[in-house]
Amino acid sequence: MVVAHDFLYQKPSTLLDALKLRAQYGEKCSLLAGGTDLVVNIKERRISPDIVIDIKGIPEFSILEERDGSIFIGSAITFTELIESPLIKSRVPIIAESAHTVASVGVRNRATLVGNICSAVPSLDSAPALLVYKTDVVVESVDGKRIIPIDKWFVAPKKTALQNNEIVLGVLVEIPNSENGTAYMKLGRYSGEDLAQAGVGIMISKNLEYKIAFCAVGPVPRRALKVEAFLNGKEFSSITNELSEIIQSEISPITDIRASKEYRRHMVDVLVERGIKLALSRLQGE
Amino acid sequence: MKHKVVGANVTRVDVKEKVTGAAKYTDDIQPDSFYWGAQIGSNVVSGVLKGVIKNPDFDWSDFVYVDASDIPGENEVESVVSDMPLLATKEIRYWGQPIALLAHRDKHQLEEGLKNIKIEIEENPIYVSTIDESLSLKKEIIPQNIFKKRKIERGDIESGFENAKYVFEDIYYTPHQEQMYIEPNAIISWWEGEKIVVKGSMQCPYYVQASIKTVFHKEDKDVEIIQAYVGGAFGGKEDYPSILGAHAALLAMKANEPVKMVYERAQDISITTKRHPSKTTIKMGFDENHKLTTLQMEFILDGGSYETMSSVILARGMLHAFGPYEIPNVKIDGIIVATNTPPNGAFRGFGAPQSFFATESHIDYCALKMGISPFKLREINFVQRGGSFPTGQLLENDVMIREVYDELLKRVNYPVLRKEIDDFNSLSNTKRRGFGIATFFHGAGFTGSGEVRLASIAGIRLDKNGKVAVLVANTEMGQGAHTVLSQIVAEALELPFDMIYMEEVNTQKVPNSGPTVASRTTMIVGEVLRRACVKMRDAIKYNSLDDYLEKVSQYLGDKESESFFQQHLQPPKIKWDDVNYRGDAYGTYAWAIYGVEIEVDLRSFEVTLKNIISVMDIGEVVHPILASGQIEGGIVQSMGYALYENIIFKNGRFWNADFTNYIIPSIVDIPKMDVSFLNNPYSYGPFGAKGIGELPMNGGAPAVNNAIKDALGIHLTKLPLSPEQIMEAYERDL
Amino acid sequence: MNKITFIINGEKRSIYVEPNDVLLDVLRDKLGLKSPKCGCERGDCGACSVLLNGKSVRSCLVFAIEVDGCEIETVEGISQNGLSVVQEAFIEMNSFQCGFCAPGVVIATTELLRKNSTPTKEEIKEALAGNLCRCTGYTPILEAVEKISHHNKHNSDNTGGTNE
Repeated sequence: MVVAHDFLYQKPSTLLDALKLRAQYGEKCSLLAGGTDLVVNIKERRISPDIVIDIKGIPEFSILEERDGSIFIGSAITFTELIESPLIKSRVPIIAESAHTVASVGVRNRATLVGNICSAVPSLDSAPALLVYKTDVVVESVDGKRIIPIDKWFVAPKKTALQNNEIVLGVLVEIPNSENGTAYMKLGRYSGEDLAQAGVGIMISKNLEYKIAFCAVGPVPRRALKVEAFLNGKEFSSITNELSEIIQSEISPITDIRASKEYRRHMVDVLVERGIKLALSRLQGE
Repeated sequence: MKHKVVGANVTRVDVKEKVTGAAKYTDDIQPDSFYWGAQIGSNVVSGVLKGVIKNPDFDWSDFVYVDASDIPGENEVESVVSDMPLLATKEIRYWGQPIALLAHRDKHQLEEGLKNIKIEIEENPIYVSTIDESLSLKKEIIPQNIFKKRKIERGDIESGFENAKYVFEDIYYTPHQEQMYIEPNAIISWWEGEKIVVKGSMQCPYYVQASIKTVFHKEDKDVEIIQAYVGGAFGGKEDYPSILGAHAALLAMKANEPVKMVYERAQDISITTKRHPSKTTIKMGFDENHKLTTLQMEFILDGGSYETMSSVILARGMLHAFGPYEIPNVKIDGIIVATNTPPNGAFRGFGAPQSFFATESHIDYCALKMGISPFKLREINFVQRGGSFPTGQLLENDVMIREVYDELLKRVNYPVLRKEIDDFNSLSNTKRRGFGIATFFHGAGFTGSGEVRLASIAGIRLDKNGKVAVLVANTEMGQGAHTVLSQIVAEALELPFDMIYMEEVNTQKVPNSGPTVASRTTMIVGEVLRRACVKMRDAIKYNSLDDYLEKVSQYLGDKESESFFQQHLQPPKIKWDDVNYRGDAYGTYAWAIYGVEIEVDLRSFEVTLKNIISVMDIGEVVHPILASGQIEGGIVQSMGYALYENIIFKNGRFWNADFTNYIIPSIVDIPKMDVSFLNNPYSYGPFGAKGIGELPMNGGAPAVNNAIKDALGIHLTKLPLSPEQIMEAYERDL
Repeated sequence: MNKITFIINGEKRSIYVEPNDVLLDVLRDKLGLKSPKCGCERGDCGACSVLLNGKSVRSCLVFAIEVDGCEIETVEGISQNGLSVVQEAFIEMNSFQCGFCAPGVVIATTELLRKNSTPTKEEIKEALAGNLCRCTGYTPILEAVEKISHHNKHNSDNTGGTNE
């Protein structure tokens, strides 16, 4: 399939050059990291940028490191790099776990976590992981730096809080200071590289503080604050009717090409229960 | 008789080219200068074509444009019923229906050109997408929306049901299934003077030749069709290349250069042929001993918007619909209806997977209702040696259904397995295991008098150096035909395997040995080849390889080569009445059983395939590894059909036209498989071989359904057997 | 047109490409490397896989202009000094039928075995989860890779034994 649309290509080697281009072209510009979404979107004519800015030449974007109690994941860091990183695995393991469920090796070798959250499709696997940690999206424009908390990042399906003169440098994920257990539960139609029909991220700390986030069961991925409030401080054995009602009030799934809304609703209860049990067993295993 | 080459696992003749990337598939053929061709299709589901407008301000000088007015011969797609236009002129019956063609040397420019063409269609907002919508006559595409009806009758069903102690009825549905060959449809065509050459990904070169002859009013000698490497077909490249080949040849006629047409995946899924959706109403009557006395069935297939070859698919579906049972009173009504969807066509199994889903699911349902084991119910009703099928076909020593059944129970050690499953289920709160079987068969070769009408010719050519070329029009599409046919020739000539090679599949080099369909290549064409080999051995007598080489040299003298041809000989005793559907529908049948062990999650209702055991009688096994490969591949395709595969409609169009949302099994989804063969040689197959290609597709879906029934006690009637459907039935039945 | 320079199958090449040229098309149409196949054009099927700086990628999801300064390996490169162990195993086990997915499977398996010479069945399945095959039911593919893994394990065990 040829790409019928023509565009300019620039691969700046400094952040400043990239920001200038971004300021110049604004919404007519697409940022290219792994390209696994972008190339398909351009091919299938969903977007038609005047310019594509390849950010892989800028050293800052390839940083994956610990910074003052947080982990910085640069915008060009691929899912494979996250899966293989001992730092990620030991400090923020749910990120590695969810990265593992994204597509398949050949896509993960290229696709980036930041690209994933920039696509902001409801089914994105990275979101619940980032939502249960305290995560900031670090963006910059020629006017300066801005920090956007992850729970303010997803605005609507396929829409983020990023302004059209800004570029995401990376995400900063705070390493939880208390001992915790985590789990990412994904419902896929089959075991191959499937998109999530429902996804649940869970973190439980030793003092029974719960963090729970969903994807694919509402217009945007989000924390389930009411569910957390209900669970906090409580021992968990199984989903009660009361808890289920709260869970169901926090989600608004639709019937689409992949699953019915009834089944999605049912499965969120199941995934929450299983995720909590798995996270608890991991917590106790430590 | 002990064979030397037949039965041996020789290395595939094409595997090295395939793993090194050297194999040239159609899109890999790159002439120095050529055009890329594209199709302009309807952008509505139903309507009347008013015109095609090319933007007058656009520079069209380097483009080639074709519409129906350019067709020199008939504007029709040659098929069993040639009711479909090659390019639409007036009536539009489905989204994407071909209207015009465009070509350019540069792919980017071609895209630009396509953007500058506007199709004007007076849209008819009313259309029918499903069998039930079609039957409601919400819109009449053709009178009553019925393309064809057929009937199989035996005995008297009315008195049969009157005298039955138990009667059970239900309705079963199956959806479209897409072949999902990994290589999309692709063809390249060029003209050499008055001769049209078409090379591409296809199963049936002589079908493409017939199509081109009709469209261009050409003679055989002026139409050369060549097979390229085929990246999977499964029936999906049986009839469609007749359309694509003619399209490419039309563009090439005006371009005076080769034209290559390669479908994009979304286009391939959206407009090419698929497995017919079906609706089957089935009613079975049993006497007090659980003997099946009466079967009534209405088997409806969705033909899509034109009839094309649907009638033969209906026929095969009906002729397998009664299952491997002896039933005195039978009435099967087969109907093909019209819908505003692309014409459906061939897909491995050819109607039988649909009817077996209904029959083999229903048998287990009846067993559940009568409170007896589905195993026992089958034992009571299996057709026996000396028994007969409802068409009146007498089955003598050819029936192996009881044997494959007994072998399966032995292989799984059923009493032990049963206990394991029951123990597991009594201990587990979260999961249920189940074991289900399906018993089935497949008639190899064309239905009824089809093979007599085809009158296939195949041959061998003896070259000066003693090598022997196999001359057949049957294509290698992955199934291993070229390896297996070479083995048969090597065996028949008692020559080493490496002295046999395949002639290029090219209508100017090989005779018309018929299409590569209907599980006929090994059994029918293989036997024709074996007989051609006998002719050569009658002409040249030899007793060793050295002797052979010497005798060949003497025999050929100054000649470069000598060919030996043979025409298909219908086995004696086969009688078929096409009008009343009575007699021997197929020369023989391959018999099979699947046992499927599954685990169902009681919360998510996801089904995990744990183990699939297959026992089959396919006569003599020519190449055990390739045969197992056919079965394993077929099992996995049938598991896709059972659990995942589904075409979803939105606004009358196929919505999930990609691999992301049309799910086929991946390596992570496959179960443990145990494939074994019983060997009951067929006297009229080469060295006793029968056809196997389609057989494995027939039994997967009902076996999984029956395993779910065993695990949960629920009765499902619709494919795919999705978690949603299981959840609904489970919660309803609680 | 933009000039890009890269190493393809061990050879340094410079070519001109447009920004919207997709790597798969450039490999096939401009460089004549036909082993990567186009099966879906959107990264789902794995038939177009190539190794980019040693990692398998979907060449249908990469703009050619991005590979400036990179190293690319296709099945033509893997086969240029005779058959690789992976290819030999696939031939021995008759692992493919139509063969259209074969180059992608060879690429994904090569990447896996370079990283991990003794993968388990589960690791093999995960590495090949993105390579769709409609013909074989995957069994002969899986068995061929398992065979290599067993062989490697056996050899390294033996080597370990003699060294100690």
